[in-house]
Amino acid sequence: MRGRETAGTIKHLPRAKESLFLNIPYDSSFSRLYLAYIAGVSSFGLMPRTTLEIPGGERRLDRIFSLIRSCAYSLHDLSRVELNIRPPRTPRFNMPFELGLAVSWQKLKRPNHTWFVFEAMPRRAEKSLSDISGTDVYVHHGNARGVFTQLCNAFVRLKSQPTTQDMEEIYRRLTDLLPDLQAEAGASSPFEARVFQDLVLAARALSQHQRAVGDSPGLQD
Amino acid sequence: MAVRIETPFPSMRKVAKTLGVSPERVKEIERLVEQHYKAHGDGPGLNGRSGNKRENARPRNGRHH
Repeated sequence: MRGRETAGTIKHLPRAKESLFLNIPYDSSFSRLYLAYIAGVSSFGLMPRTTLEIPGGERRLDRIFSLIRSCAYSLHDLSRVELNIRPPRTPRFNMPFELGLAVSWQKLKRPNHTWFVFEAMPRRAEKSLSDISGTDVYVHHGNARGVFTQLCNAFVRLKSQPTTQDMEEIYRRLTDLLPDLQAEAGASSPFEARVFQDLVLAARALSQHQRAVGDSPGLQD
Repeated sequence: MAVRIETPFPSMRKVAKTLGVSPERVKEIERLVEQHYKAHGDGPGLNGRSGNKRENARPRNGRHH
């Protein structure tokens, strides 16, 4: 496997302590939470990575696992594991499968890889995936504010502690910027590689601006 | 006392390099963000509060509960 991958692929990226593998569904009904995750994660000084970055042409599973390995954290949102409405109706296994990959990585090779499970409904993850009983599940109730609150709970040990208002501001500005970013990319969906990259960069720039304003004399309490 | 984990905010350059984005594109995004601030600098947030002012600002580093 090693010999087949070329320089510059995700496999060769060093494990970055500020990278977070964001394991979420890519559908239009999830786009608000997608922006909320990018805004919130960026506010903590972390860099979201997703499988949207993975180009075609190489075995997808290898690239997903490489991406997980390159990240210090992984966040798995299991709120869309229900049956897909398009026929044939099937459950969506990708998110729990990738959670399994991350757990395996942490158990077998990288004990300090930290993974988090997020859900929209209380106790549903424990029912649909009882193997994770005893694991804290962060319930966001399907809204952006819930995501921000639960990110605060998940990352309570990080030194940088943005407020939910900080995250909301970045989220709001990303929402405003999205139509321009999609238009520039000729994309009909925010779940495209170029748009994702631009959103991460924009969130980083907004976060940087916010920190600069927050650190200015006279603007703090 | 709980151990706090340092998260060095990655620079734009590092983020761009990790994502494989060109420096030109980074400049375009920075310009877009700058234009956005000029156009919407102090709009209302989700909670109806000012988006730009640091109301209830708290120290961001080393805060302990």
